[in-house]
Amino acid sequence: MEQSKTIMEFKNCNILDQNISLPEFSFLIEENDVVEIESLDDEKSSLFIRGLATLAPLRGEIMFKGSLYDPLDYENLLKLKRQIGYLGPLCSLLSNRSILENIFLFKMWEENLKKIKLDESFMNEFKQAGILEYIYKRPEKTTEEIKCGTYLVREFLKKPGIVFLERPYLFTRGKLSRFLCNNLKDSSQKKVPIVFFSNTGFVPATEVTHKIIVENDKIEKIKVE
Amino acid sequence: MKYLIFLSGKTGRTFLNYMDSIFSMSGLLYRILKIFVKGNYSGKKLVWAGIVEQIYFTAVQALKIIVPISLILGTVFFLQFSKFAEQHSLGNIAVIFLLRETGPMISAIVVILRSATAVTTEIGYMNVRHEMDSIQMAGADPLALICLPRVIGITTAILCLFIVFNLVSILGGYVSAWAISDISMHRFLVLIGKSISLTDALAVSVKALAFGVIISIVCLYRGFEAKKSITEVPVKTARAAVECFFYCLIFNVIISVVFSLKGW
Repeated sequence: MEQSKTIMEFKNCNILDQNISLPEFSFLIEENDVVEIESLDDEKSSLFIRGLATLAPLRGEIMFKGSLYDPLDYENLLKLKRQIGYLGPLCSLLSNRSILENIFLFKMWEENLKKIKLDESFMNEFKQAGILEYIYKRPEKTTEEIKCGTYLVREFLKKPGIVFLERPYLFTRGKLSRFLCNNLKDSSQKKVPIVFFSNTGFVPATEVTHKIIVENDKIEKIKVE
Repeated sequence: MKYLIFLSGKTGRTFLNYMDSIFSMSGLLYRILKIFVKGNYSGKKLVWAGIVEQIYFTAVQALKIIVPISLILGTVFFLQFSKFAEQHSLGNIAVIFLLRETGPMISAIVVILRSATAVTTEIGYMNVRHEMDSIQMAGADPLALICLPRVIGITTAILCLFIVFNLVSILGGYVSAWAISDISMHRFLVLIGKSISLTDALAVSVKALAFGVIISIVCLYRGFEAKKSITEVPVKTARAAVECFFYCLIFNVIISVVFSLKGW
């Protein structure tokens, strides 16, 4: 049997928050994993998945694709954040940049570009997400659905090494539902692990392989039989 | 006794909070300077575009305010001082009072009123709306992408505004001097030119650098303090504007004292 490769590992990690306390946790996420986060308290699940995705306010040791990252090493952590796809209520767009610039900010920064050259494949992505006519507009000139479409396109175009989905129903309006499903299937085929939290019974495009149970005194990852 | 304890406690807490914000601002400045000096960030074109944008907003758009103000001040200054100053000392007074003291402070006030409040509001709004997190999730550093252009842009803009203020106020001064004494433009410029030395230019440049850094760092820091609610933004903006003015005033005095002690 083929051994799964570890994508991300959290060792002795703590998520620091003034209002909600979470216990220390250690677990690893392997390729092909589809992990659902479960808790009796939705706020705890939200804080937990946000902590894993945005790596703040997190303390402990993080390994990503074999490299060790210290949450206190700000510059190094930015390189890791670039490789994480996060979709959730905390997603936002820069209000002083166009939709297109928002989508490709990672590319413009990484490759030192002032403008983006669009090819047919990008156009197709924009069309599928229903944002093609709005790409040169500022976010405030568009609707909530367009913004959600932009988050989806932005996060999946990053080609993330891991995808975190918090309350995915926010991204399933109109055309977006199919777009999200297709991208999740695509990620799954590329063995990209998916971690999600939903309080509305969201079913990802592929089978859930593991669950992370968030309790008051412990957080543990269990295999779904 | 109870009130004394209360008063000393409050004074102590206020002092500690004050020192805390001073050290935090210094820390922010250090991190931005480190990025500037090392220059090892990737999106240089985006940063450069941000600097140009900031200079446009802070300097170019402020011209329509700074030009009439400096013209009026120059005219009034020369009109009033010419009553009790001889022609040769008028130049010296103009350089010290108008160019070295009033010019920098007036330019700083215009920048504080126009741009400092705008920067604090913008940063506060971006922070509350998690836009800074979005930048980080794209692998970009908000300190390089957002803060560095503002520090460089505002500092450069203030220096440009100083120069404009000085030139236009001298022009305004000539108008009043011409009205009362029929002095020729050539003679007037020679008078001013003789009074201006290299140390004056140095003093003005040091003030521009200090004011630019103070205004931008205070605004960025107070903007970043707004975290949870949009209602925090106006509070931080008002605080930033007052602090900018206060710190600029203090640094203006310090720089002037240092230069006069050195005999410059």
